[in-house]
Amino acid sequence: MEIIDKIIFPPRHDHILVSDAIIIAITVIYFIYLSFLTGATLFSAGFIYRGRTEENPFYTRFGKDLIRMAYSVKGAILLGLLPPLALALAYAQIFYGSGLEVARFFQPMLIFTLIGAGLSLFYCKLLEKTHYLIFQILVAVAAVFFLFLAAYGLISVNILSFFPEKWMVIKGSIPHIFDATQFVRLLHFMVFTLTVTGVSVLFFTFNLSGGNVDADEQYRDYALKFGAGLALAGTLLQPLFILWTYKAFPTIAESLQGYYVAAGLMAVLYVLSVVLYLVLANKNPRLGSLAYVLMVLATLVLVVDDTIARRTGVKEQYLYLQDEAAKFEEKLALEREELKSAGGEISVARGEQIYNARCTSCHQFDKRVVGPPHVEVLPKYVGKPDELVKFILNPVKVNPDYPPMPNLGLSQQDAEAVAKYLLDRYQKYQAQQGKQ
Amino acid sequence: MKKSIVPVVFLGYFGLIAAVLLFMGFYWQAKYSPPEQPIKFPHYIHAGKLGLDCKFCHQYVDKSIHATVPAMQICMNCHQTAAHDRPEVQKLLKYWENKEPIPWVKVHDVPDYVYFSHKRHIKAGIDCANCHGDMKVVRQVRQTRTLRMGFCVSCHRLKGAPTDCWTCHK
Ligand code: HEC
Ligand code: HEC
Ligand code: HEC
Ligand code: HEC
Ligand code: HEC
Ligand code: HEC
Repeated sequence: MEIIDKIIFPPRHDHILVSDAIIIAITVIYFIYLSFLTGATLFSAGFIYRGRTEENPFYTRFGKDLIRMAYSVKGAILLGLLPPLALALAYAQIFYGSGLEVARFFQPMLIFTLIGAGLSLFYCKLLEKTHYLIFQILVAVAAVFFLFLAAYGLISVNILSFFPEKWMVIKGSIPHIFDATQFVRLLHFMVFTLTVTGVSVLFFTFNLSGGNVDADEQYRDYALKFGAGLALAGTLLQPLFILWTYKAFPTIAESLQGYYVAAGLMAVLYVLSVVLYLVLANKNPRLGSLAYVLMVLATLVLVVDDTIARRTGVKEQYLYLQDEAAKFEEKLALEREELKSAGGEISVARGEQIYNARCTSCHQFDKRVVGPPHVEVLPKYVGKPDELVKFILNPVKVNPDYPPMPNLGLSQQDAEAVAKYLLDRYQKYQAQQGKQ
Repeated sequence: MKKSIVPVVFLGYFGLIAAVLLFMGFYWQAKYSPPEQPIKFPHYIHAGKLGLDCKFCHQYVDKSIHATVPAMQICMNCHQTAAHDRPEVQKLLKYWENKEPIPWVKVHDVPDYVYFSHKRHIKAGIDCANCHGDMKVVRQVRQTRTLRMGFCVSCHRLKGAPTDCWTCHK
């Protein structure tokens, strides 16, 4: 994945916005995917265990259905593979030039997701093929473990991306930073999993394309209670963890905007909790679709809040991108200009552009600004363009009446162009003076 | 009757937490948001676009424990003539005419019981960005590192600098 860091281009303004939008969209999908897969596998194994030990086929059936839901959507596995790749690209774009090679963090994430989703699918098939309970449970637990690791990676990169202080201590590709925020987020993920799993059970059993058509009265009743109850528990617990997250938040990533959005998230969770309560109280599963939409909306708001945290926490990085983008566009404009002009004119036209962009804040041709007027200092450089280039590339103290000129970091080529332009213009200036 | 009370209880619960979050936001705003400076001094123009070295203004950074904020004379080297049309520069000129020092608000401040020396770190080749972030792009100065003990010590461990308590607590 190191290759990703290399193929990233100097950003343009629109790239930055697009990258943030990609991160938001993909993170929402990936989070819900990981949560549901984790929850479905975990609770399925629980029901299988219960069905077996209590010798109650109802629970066994429910357990089987739970994990099948996760794979009922075609291409579910693929859904787990694309996000790490897309995120790696988008994050690498945002952290261009920062020295933090974010792309490498997505390598283990990709592998963990693959193994986790693979094991979970294996567990799903295993339920038909074998009756060794221990084996089934072990595979499920291993699947949950790897999915959890993937979620841990996602959470950590997210936090790392708004806490630049931690960058210096990261070695290798596991972004483990021993930080309270990271720990709280992981707990929050577990609670979040309850909401996602519960709402999904409702949605898949009752709403999605007519729901589960084989379900009888008892089954429907149980699915409703289990789904809505689990989701409601998760939804009611979430605010405590969000509060705790903010308590542990790095000051650098805090902003009033972020808190407003967090308060807005409470409003969404409130509506969701009321909807879930109505499902439970009225035994009315038709609201399941609404609950699903609200769950996705809550996830979106959560991820948007993280994006605000990142835009605040590494504000300097965003400013850097903005400045780089401006420079890059300036350079493109120069190159376009250069193609238009012909032969020997090239470097003079280019020189004028660079001069106007980089020198005019301190110099005017015939007036003192910060530096001396060029007409006073250029005579000694006439016929000696090399010395002028040398001065521009590495200014030394000349006149005690002026502050020193800073090194502007021009390239050899650019300095030559500017020198040529200056001498050219000085020549014309002299000719004009001579005429008068 | 009993049913309708549950949504109200939920409202109270979520509302309370939302209120606490908003309170935390306003607390942060009051206590930790970057301070407004008397003149909106743009680092990104001086250190970025004009390419001035940090030491040009923070003259004591490699000579003393304090980097110090530049005296007005340093600004006036250039602003005797430069950029008089900008409103922020006019504020600078007003201070200069009235011979008042500019009341810059301090941004970084470690507690008195901590001994910190710029000189030692600059001499050891530590870049300003390690502790202040990328100042070449900054529009408004803020503290970008916690400057808590864990931060100092983790770098000292990485670079093999001393970590005994008396290094920083004299
Ligand atoms: C931050 C302000 C600043 C910028 C930007 C700047 N200069 Fe200067 N320049 C000065 C100052 C101050 C001096 C006087 C230095 C001295 O006398 O020691 C100077 C002096 C010079 C001199 C005279 C050197 C001599 O031998 O007397 C030349 C030529 C010059 N600058 C060219 C340039 C060019 C070309 C650029 C753009 C690439 C540029 N400067 C950008 C401030 C600046
Ligand atoms: C043209 C002069 C100038 C240059 C060049 C300059 N600074 Fe500053 N710096 C200032 C002034 C004036 C202030 C105080 C005003 C403010 O905080 O905005 C300041 C404030 C700071 C502060 C915050 C001080 C505090 O109150 O805690 C830091 C940190 C800092 N500068 C670092 C740098 C670094 C790093 C560079 C080099 C990349 C640099 N500065 C270049 C003038 C300059
Ligand atoms: C090396 C010369 C130099 C020094 C020293 C310098 N400035 Fe400037 N400053 C400039 C130039 C040149 C500009 C105009 C830049 C441009 O073209 O945008 C400028 C612009 C500004 C602006 C206006 C920014 C805007 O566009 O709103 C402010 C405010 C300012 N300087 C404050 C200060 C202060 C305060 C100091 C002292 C700490 C200082 N400057 C030191 C050269 C200097
Ligand atoms: C090892 C970390 C570190 C490095 C490297 C560092 N600083 Fe600082 N800087 C600090 C700390 C800590 C403070 C707060 C000092 C205090 O409160 O006494 C500070 C404060 C400042 C201040 C406020 C004025 C003062 O001295 O209290 C300025 C200005 C400053 N630094 C500029 C710089 C510049 C310019 C560089 C690079 C040449 C630099 N710093 C490199 C840690 C660092
Ligand atoms: C980016 C790395 C880095 C950070 C961050 C850092 N230091 Fe250092 N510090 C060093 C290095 C390297 C040395 C060794 C310098 C030398 O060899 O002289 C050092 C030396 C010191 C010394 C002198 C040690 C001696 O031998 O007496 C003190 C005091 C000190 N640091 C305090 C601090 C404090 C306080 C902070 C936090 C605000 C801090 N440092 C943050 C890298 C760092
Ligand atoms: C590299 C520098 C450094 C070293 C070494 C160091 N400290 Fe600190 N210490 C700090 C800084 C910086 C703070 C200020 C933290 C803050 O702003 O809250 C601090 C704060 C403290 C505090 C105040 C409590 C707090 O966290 O606010 C105690 C107590 C303390 N240090 C004890 C120790 C002891 C004991 C050791 C030796 C094991 C030690 N320190 C070594 C830099 C250092």
